[in-house]
Amino acid sequence: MSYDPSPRTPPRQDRWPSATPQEAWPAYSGRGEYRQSADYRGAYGGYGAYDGYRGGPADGYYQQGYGYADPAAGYGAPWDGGYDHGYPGAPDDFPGPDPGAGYLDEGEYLEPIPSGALLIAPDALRAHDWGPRRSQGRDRDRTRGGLVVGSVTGFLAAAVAIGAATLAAAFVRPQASPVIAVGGAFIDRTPSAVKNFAVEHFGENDKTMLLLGMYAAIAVLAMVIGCLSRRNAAIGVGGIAAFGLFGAFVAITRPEAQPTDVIPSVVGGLAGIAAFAWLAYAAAPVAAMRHAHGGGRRRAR
Amino acid sequence: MSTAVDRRKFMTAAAGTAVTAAAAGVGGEILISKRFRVNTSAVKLAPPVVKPPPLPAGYSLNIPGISPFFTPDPQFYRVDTALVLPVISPSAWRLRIHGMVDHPVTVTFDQLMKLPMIEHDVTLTCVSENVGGPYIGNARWEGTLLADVLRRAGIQSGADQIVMRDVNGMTIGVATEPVMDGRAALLAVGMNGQPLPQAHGFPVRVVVPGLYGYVSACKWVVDMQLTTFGAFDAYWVQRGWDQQAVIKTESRIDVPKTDTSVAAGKVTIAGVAWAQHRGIEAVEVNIDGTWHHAKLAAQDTIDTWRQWYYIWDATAGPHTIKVRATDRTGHTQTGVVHGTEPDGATGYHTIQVTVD
Repeated sequence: MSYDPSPRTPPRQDRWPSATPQEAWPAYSGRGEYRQSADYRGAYGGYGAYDGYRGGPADGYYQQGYGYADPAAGYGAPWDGGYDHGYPGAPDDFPGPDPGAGYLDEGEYLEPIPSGALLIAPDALRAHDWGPRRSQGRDRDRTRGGLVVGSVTGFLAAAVAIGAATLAAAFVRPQASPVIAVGGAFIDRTPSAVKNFAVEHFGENDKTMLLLGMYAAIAVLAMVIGCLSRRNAAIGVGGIAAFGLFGAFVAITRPEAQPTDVIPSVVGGLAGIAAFAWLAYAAAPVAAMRHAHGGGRRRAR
Repeated sequence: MSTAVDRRKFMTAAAGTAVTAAAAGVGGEILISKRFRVNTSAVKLAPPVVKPPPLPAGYSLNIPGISPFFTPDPQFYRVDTALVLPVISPSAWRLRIHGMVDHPVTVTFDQLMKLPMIEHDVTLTCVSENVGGPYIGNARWEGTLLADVLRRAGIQSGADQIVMRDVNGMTIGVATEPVMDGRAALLAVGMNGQPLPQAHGFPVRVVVPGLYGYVSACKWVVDMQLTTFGAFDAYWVQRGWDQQAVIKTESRIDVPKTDTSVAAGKVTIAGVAWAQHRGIEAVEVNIDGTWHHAKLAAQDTIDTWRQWYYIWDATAGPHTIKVRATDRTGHTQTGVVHGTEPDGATGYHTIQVTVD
């Protein structure tokens, strides 16, 4: 990206959500000034109401045609590619004057990132609905990058979960493995038409085909969950936990099940969550880690 | 693709988790295969008290491509619902007989092995065997008569069904009558002179001549409950299959294969026919609409299949070949085409060949 030579040490304007050149933010260092002004509080949703910006030195907003002059544009515009491409001006993107959405609170700037949020993919911090617009080239790139990272995260977390569950099953019994238990339950519930199809087309490889199909389904689901978890890490943790609990439930309800049959599913679920946390932490953008809120929003890709 | 994610950091974590997953998964599988492997060779089969008579001369035809009379273990079909093979140590194996009996009994493996053993040749057939399909196999089974074991418990009148359970809770319901009527319904511990393979029910399975496997051939059996057909539907019955199913008189062409070409002249058409516990009386081959009598291999027992062949003077062109069998009750297999559900497929096995 032209303005982003190094993801490790992005220039200052990259760390700030609206990617304004450093000198264009006279109020940032002295944010108390405009923060306390009635103008800011009243009209934070539209930059056009910032009188102070217009008068500021080397502001550049109007000169560069950022489109900030349109009060209806709202925050959505400068986040999402407005810097490079101009703002297409869809007023619908304005999330509304939700107090939680803006920069109302001084404390919000100063607070360190909550420790729990370290587990959260930084895009998850973008709690408001002004996400990337796919119509713009940069946003497409950003989305694609997020999909790769999310898919890899979900896939590997699921792989760790299944691997750990298999290892645990070796100390319980093979039938306690969640994949085997769910596969067995699936066989029991397979309509006879499907069963006949499998017997006719796969013959005695029907069990192998079933396991392959299950692994494929788990992989796809895990990748979807991984992508969703880029917005909200709770989806990742909850998704893996749901998998583990489902496996434990099925294992314990199989005919001739033993109480210890829950162990592989529980171990697998915990290992999967740990792997997910590791990957999500590693995928947290550097800028976001340094500038928790604004950076996180801006850098989410 | 540009992304603000610290790629090196993420790739490190991804590689780390991938290695962790692979190590745990492969390690787990290796551990499972080591910890949950049965040593079938630890079982020593006692010489059978009742040996089958010597195989009649000509019981097996030496025709390339025909199904061997005794199916080799690796080729013996396996149709069951066990995703992982059950592991049962013979020392831990128990057979519990309960339900409508005078006194429930529990049989250990040692007690079972001390009972008189019988060897008998039985061809097993799966109800999923479509016409011309592969789910049939013949073996020499060693075991003790199930009827003798059941008599120790004392079957009460009215108990017309025996619900057998395997170690995974799978249920197979067999009618009491064919088990008790004197046929060689076995609690089998051996197959082709060896202890049962793990995939075929080690340490003990049930073999009942004449019934499809889903209503008789319970592998890894650990429990038998005497009950009635009205009181309990077994696994496959709950899924729409009939409560009782006698193996239908059927036949299969092994050579030539369908949709192949053969040279003009003498062509051997050969295959197998089966009607377990009734026996095969005759096999006919239909070539382009005309029925011809096939020659039969010698009959081993009426519980086994029977090989057959027909020498065909083939003329050039496409031909349609069908086969049908007649059992020793005089019943000729029907040409009505029907699928496997609910009690086994019917129809003539039909092939197309081109003669050059």
